[in-house]
Amino acid sequence: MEALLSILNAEFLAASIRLATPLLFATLGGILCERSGVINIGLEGMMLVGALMGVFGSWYLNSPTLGFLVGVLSGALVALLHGFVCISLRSNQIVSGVAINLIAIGLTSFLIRIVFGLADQQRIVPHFNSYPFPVLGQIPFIGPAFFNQLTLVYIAFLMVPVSWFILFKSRWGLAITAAGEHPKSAASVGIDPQFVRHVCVVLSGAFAGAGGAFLSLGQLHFFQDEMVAGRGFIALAAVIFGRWNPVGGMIACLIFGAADALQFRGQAVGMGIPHQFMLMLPYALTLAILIIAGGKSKAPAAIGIPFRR
Amino acid sequence: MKYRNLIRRTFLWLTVIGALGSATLSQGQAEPLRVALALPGSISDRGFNASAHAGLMLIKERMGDDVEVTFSEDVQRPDFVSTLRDYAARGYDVIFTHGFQWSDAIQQVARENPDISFMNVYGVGSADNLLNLDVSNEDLFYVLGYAATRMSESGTVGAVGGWEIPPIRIQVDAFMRGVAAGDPDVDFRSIFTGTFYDAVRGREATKALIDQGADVIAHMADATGLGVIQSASEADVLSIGYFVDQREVAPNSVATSAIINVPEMYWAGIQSVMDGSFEGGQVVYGLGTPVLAVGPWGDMVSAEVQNETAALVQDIVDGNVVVERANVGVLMEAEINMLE
Repeated sequence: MEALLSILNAEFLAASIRLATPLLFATLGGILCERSGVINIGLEGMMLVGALMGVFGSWYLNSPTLGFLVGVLSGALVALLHGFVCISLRSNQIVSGVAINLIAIGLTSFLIRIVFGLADQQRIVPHFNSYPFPVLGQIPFIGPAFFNQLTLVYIAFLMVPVSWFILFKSRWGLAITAAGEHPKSAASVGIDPQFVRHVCVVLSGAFAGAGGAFLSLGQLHFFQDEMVAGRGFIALAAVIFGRWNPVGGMIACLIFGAADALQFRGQAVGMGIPHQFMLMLPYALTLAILIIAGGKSKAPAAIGIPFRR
Repeated sequence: MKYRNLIRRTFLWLTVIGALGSATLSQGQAEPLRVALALPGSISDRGFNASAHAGLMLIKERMGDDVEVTFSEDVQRPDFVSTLRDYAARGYDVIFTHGFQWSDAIQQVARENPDISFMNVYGVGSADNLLNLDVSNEDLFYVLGYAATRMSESGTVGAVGGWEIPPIRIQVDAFMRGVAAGDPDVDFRSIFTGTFYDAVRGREATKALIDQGADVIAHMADATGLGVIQSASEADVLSIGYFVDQREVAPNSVATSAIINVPEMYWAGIQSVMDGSFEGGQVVYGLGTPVLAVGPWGDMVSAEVQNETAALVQDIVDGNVVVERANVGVLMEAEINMLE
């Protein structure tokens, strides 16, 4: 018990938030995309491309901010391809997403070797440093836990109310929901479901690219092959867990981040629990809460179905 | 008629000359030895997989035109057998794999292809034509654990492991015993990340160890370990590299490295194939061989620590200090049960 209390400190909370942030970016993207009726399995690949292009951008433009924007834009560009295949060509959305993930793994490993070379692949690029808030950062416990993070962390969490507002309180949100629930009705009142879906898919790619660039520019400061390591898929789970609601998605990401931070610390203090169990903790906890929270989790009605006039 | 005979004769002679000519030519240029390597990860990890790639390049460099080399990286577990079968079908003479996880696959394909020489680093499979290349991990990591206690000021030493397969378990355990032998008062903390390919997780694990007071952190985690070193470097604590001299990854942090010289192991294996002495089984390289060593020291490490460590290495080589062997049988059985 004493060991458990010793790990629940400010650094634990800071780590939870840090671990949740890349997931949160991708989750918000996933929510936007799926609410408009398009499944985006390709989040993982878009994150990977964002991570790589973020590194390239930051290195050649000598600015992490510009690098981050390059990462966001390249994620959006990959998503444009997904949109073209799924919305314009009406192909299978799952197949397109899986293809994007596979292409991204090969393409990013290939490009980094061409551009930086094998021996110098992990060169440290200009990166983000944590930004302590002037006054709030001084508060004991709360300061180091919440207000001594990277600027990108604040941006990610700021995006939660922004996307919530857009989805549920704006005309745009209504159009997105209509495109995802009943695109024919949407079309009958003058909304172009295909256009709405295209925009949402591109935005989801931008969010995923942001998550990837956060990993490379905010955390590692270099690019490593396959560095996203499944976070895109965890984000997909968080979309469903959060019931296609940005606030729910944020809670899902925070639970996951906290469980992950907890298991690392649990292993570090040696609580005598087998590490296999600790590694399982984030997944088990997510599943448990999903069961306890219960209730109906309803996906957009027209999800996965290409729109035909 | 006359002409036809002449033509026939000329044709005959040309054929004979041609045959002789090509025979002498092919004697001069013997068929090159064809060597293939299959890797579980990316050659850009600056450690485990990179060392295997360096081994293949060493073979190419030393044998030149007498050898033809190829490799596959990032091979996923379900594709292990098909990748090896593909190399066998394409007529490769020597097939290397890298890592314990290949044991089943390489054993199976080796038994199917008795004329091909197979070698696997850290493997446990058995076949007449399968040679497992191994090192005495217990000795090296015991020494490093001992050295870590000499470098630690905080009294806490940490280790980050990748996926817990027997070689990694053996390394972490030996490191822990080395820490206990170096200074029983030093705390040892370890974290398994469950992955060899996620540097961000390595980074978070390291932060958790630093949060618990660790100031010397070893990694046994391939590419995940790059995150360990990066994080240690940022926090200005010491780290210990893995497989190759990793000082260049973070000169301010990497105090030394666990050197496992895969290229020399590969070269010895290739030489045995070339002189016909190759046979299946296991070869274990210990401290004192060119394969296994405590790596070059960083500038921040005192001469005293270096000398003390060198003395312990010598004691182990001389047999004055005997490091407890891991109970490999038990570990293997558990792992093989899991695989099946």
